[in-house]
Amino acid sequence: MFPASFDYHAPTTVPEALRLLAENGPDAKLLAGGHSLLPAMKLRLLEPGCLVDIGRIPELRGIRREGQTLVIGAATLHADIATSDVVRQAAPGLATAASLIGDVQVRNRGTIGGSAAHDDPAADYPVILTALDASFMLVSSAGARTVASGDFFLDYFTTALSDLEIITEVRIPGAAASVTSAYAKLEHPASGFLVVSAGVRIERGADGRCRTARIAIGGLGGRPFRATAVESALAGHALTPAAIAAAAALAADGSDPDGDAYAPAEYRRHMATVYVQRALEAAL
Amino acid sequence: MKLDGVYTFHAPRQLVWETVQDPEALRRCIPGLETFEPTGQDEYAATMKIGVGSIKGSYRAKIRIFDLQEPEHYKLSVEATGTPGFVRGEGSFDLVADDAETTTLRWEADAQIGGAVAAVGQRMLGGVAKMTVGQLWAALDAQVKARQARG
Repeated sequence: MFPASFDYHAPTTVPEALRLLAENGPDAKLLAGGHSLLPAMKLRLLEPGCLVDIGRIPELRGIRREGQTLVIGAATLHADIATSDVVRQAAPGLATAASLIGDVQVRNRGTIGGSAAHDDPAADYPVILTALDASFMLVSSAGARTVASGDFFLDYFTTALSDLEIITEVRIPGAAASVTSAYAKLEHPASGFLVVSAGVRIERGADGRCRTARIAIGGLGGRPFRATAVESALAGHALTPAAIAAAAALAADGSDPDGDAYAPAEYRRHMATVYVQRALEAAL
Repeated sequence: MKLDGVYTFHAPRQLVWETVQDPEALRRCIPGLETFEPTGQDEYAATMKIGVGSIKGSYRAKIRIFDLQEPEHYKLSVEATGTPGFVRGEGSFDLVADDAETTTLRWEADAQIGGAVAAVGQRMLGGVAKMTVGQLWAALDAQVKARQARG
């Protein structure tokens, strides 16, 4: 369980990290918390010749509000997100998701940007960040761009991030009293990875009815599945238990999950309904 | 691991057949292919990087095409070994002409995957394999279209 040999760099600024990425070409990998990258290297699934450690760049860490936007630095730890009062207030579903990732050791090393860039189909952040309509600030030596979560998470381990870009921030809109969110997860008992999970974001009108809903489900394919049928069923309606149950029943409509020995496709579709309902109940 | 799928080409069956049997088209279209050399009648040796996103392993593969029934059926066997594990499998491919300009390709495969890649990737191998095969058909579809455009 030893990785192949590699060069190691620990820049302290983003421009320095970008320069190291460009100089070392496709052989270079970014190292953040390392809780996905290092196991893959020890198994020799990955043998990068050069690691650029961005876990020591102060400007990539931190949680703050900019008006109604919650801004989280890409190298912020899961544990800091799970326990942040700012996150709990602005996007409670994100704090819940962070608290359910892996174990204590993983949460104290792993980062939100690292998890998003790795894009494991059984990871928690892609699901809740899609539900929250988050966007990613990506920086390269050519400039910066912002990519919405719907355009960022593309397929199994595949994102819109290029080899020469670094995620600097995750931006979550709609931090307002009328907006709430929640996350519910069916964990695999051995790995802690999600089998099925649901992230929901509800915006309520002055009359208490649901104005808009955004719902993302994990475990139904290579990217978070937007349950648009549930979103339409909830929009404009009072959020009664009966309305929630009726809408949640549509959770897997239009999805085409791949089953495996632990969770066949039909089971995943049924669990999608169960966990969307749980997440909606938790949000209210 | 058993897999199956369907892909629809908007082209005549004979053209689709010629494209999927053309070593040059395969060389351009197989995802992650680095070298592809004939070693005999319908037999090839290849080196390829298979995987997904940043997690890719290098494999040396022997590919054999057999049971050819032009223009509607063929089989393909692959034996690949590499640092992260091995892949052995056989696939069966059927081309159905829906009409003069539409061809449906149905495939099913039975693959054995072992080593580290299977140990850690078990929960998503099926999805990843389907995604990779999907990329192959999409690339071959582009080749078919290019041939149609050339007439």
